[in-house]
Amino acid sequence: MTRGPRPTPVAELTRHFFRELFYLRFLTDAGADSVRRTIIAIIAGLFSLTIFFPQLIVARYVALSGRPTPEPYRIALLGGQLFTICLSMFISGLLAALVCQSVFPDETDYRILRTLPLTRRVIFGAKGLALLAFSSIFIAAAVVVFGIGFAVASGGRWAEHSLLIGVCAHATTIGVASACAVAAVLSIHGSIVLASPRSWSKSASVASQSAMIGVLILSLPLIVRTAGDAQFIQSRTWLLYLAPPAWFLGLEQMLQGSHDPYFARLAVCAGLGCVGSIVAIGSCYLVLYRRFEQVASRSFSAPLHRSGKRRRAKTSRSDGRRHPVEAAVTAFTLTTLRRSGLHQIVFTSIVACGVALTVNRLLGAPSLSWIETSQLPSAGMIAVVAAPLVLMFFSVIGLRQTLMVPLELRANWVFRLALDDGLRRHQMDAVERALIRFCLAPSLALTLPLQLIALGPVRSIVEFQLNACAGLLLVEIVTRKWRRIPFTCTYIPARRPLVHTVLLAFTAYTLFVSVGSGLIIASLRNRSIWLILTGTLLAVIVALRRHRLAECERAGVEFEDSLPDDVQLMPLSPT
Amino acid sequence: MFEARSLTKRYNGLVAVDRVSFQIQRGEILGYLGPNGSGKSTTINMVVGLLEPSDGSVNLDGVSMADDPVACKRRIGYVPEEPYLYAHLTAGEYLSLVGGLRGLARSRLEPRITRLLQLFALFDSRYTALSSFSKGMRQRVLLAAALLHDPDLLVLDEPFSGLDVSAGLLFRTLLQLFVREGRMILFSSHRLDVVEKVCSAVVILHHGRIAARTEMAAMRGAGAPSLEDVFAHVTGEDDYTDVARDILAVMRDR
Repeated sequence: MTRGPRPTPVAELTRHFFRELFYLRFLTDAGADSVRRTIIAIIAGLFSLTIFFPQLIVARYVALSGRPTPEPYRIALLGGQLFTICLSMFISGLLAALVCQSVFPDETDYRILRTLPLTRRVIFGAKGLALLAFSSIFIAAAVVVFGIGFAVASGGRWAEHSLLIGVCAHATTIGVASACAVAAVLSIHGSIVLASPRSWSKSASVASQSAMIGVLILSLPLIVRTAGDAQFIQSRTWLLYLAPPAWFLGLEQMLQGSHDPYFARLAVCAGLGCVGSIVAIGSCYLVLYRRFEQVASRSFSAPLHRSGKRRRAKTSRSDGRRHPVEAAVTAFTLTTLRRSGLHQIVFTSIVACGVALTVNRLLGAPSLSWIETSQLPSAGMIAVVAAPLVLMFFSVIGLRQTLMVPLELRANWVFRLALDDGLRRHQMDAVERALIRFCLAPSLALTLPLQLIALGPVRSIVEFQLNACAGLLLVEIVTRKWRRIPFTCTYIPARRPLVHTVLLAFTAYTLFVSVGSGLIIASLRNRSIWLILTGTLLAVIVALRRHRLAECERAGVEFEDSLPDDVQLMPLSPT
Repeated sequence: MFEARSLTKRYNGLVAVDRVSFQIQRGEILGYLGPNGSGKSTTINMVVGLLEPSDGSVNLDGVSMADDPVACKRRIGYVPEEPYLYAHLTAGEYLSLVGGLRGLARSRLEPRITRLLQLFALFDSRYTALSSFSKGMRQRVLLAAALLHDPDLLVLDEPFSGLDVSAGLLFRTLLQLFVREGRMILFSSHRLDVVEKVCSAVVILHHGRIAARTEMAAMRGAGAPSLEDVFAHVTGEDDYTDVARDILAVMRDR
């Protein structure tokens, strides 16, 4: 029997850390499976869409090459280059944000690895190598698809440089930009975690991860707009100095031999950004390397918050008016949302989609000048009126999904032991309260100033009232069949076929946002419609609420998710 | 009085617990022993209402768990074998959750939680997440949660695991005083020395059936076999020397 070469500790540990990076650390045991499947489904969907990417690019640039002048082609090319840089930075940054909790050796590594005969240098070296290998995969993929693929597909007769120079410059730019995005995300996360005081270390880590994912999703509308709106690059605006992807566009132009001082300045920004991010991440590693024991062990018994007493006293006052069961479930829900990284990320991601859509609609209005005039163009009017509806829709759906993701299922025995038919209503009230407090109230409050500016005080009040009614209706609809205590029930994702889910979501969105905003606009113009709409909404809300409460008394609390039981019988037997 | 009558649990034809019957009188601590896989935890899950028996019944002072589970559960405090807790909560938040679910008013609950945290030596760690707690600290939280609503029956599954000497002594004394007020305890453990000291009677389970039931008073007489002897005899594992030798042999094998 032949024996292979014995792996060195560094190689063994690097392999371990590399594999670990694929197991997203923010996923809890209970929620891991469901969320992982959902993430895989989303990534698979996005990858399948990239099949159309080269076709779209080729078709576009072939058409532009056929134009009589080079100007439209060159403007579009600049926009396309910026778009692919943005996209590759977005994907690399998002992946880095998803794994950022595993990037530095932490408490688990400290507890397990320091008991083994391994030096600190081996541990940190292996972690760094694993990170390098992990990021290289995605950076290489970005270079192939968005770098080489785009450069080849966008070639045409009006191109200023040879294909080889174009490919080399764009691929290099994509690689550097992606690496910079990874380094920036990790350095921000590392700096926040290391700089935060002991009592906030874990919360800061979770919050910075959720915030970065949220910000990246929020940037999506701007990324999409770069593809079609390249005129502002030509205008040499100073605003591009604030946009990191534009720095790399400058770098690309310099690599292609441009002598434009504007692009040169952007390229300098790119260089400084890269160096800054790399220095920051290196410093984080260095600090951690020197103080591994203190930093890794500081969370062993770190208190969660020093203001806990104050917070508890405040909660107690507000809880005094509520039933103890409702107060307990509400407190449990709020605390979990505040501390669980997984739940924060699910909620933040879905809400960020809503915010991004709202921003996109507002930016998409023909002109922002309608804010200053009373002459509202229809698109602007619809965008303003629809803003709270979009936010409420995404936040309510997002929170509902978040409450469905389980957390430590083995601990739910405390809820099972305390099951009581007479108290079930109070458990469910906690869910309704969370939806109103976290979704409806912030959505309405955030969009009120915009509506005051755009619609004036009287019409804003009318709209606010209608939006509040629409929000309550949405809450009643989404909690109609809700039988769970938050985070305590198993969750089977994708219970329906994908097409069914997409159609359902699209229909719900259209009905709630498009039809809803249409009805609200009609109500703003006609008082009778407003009265009828208000009366109808209130009647439906009351009816749904009564039905929900009656159902709640009858049906039991669910701790096990189940597949739909409407079995489709096949007519196989002869009649 | 608590009574388990012919409790049986089957999983797809496999009998995990087979017609187990026992009673606990007021003021009594009943030890519930058995090797791993003998059906102890299954019985306990049926006793506290987490598992529905395939056959048989559980009654607490004449109230059947099957007929009125809520009334029964209100009077039972439970400490599970594995300290499964919501680890992102602090001890105070966890006790507050349990108390709230038990319907205790916040005005009564808050001072009781503070006092219990102090008495169980957890007050200094009141702002620390349970994920950072040692096993012993988690056991103390679980016991505090089980006592929060002043139960009549305390069901303890390995309550001493992870506890240090002083906490163990406190628990023992606490349990003895608890039953002195006319309450009952079902005490499941592998720690025969503790069972011997704490319990007034013992039931030994083997392969899902009751293999022996004995009063502790009878064992304390001169010449009586120890609980360890009885346990080893009933479970048929008298001598572990050969197994220990085999383990050492495997260890030395290069």
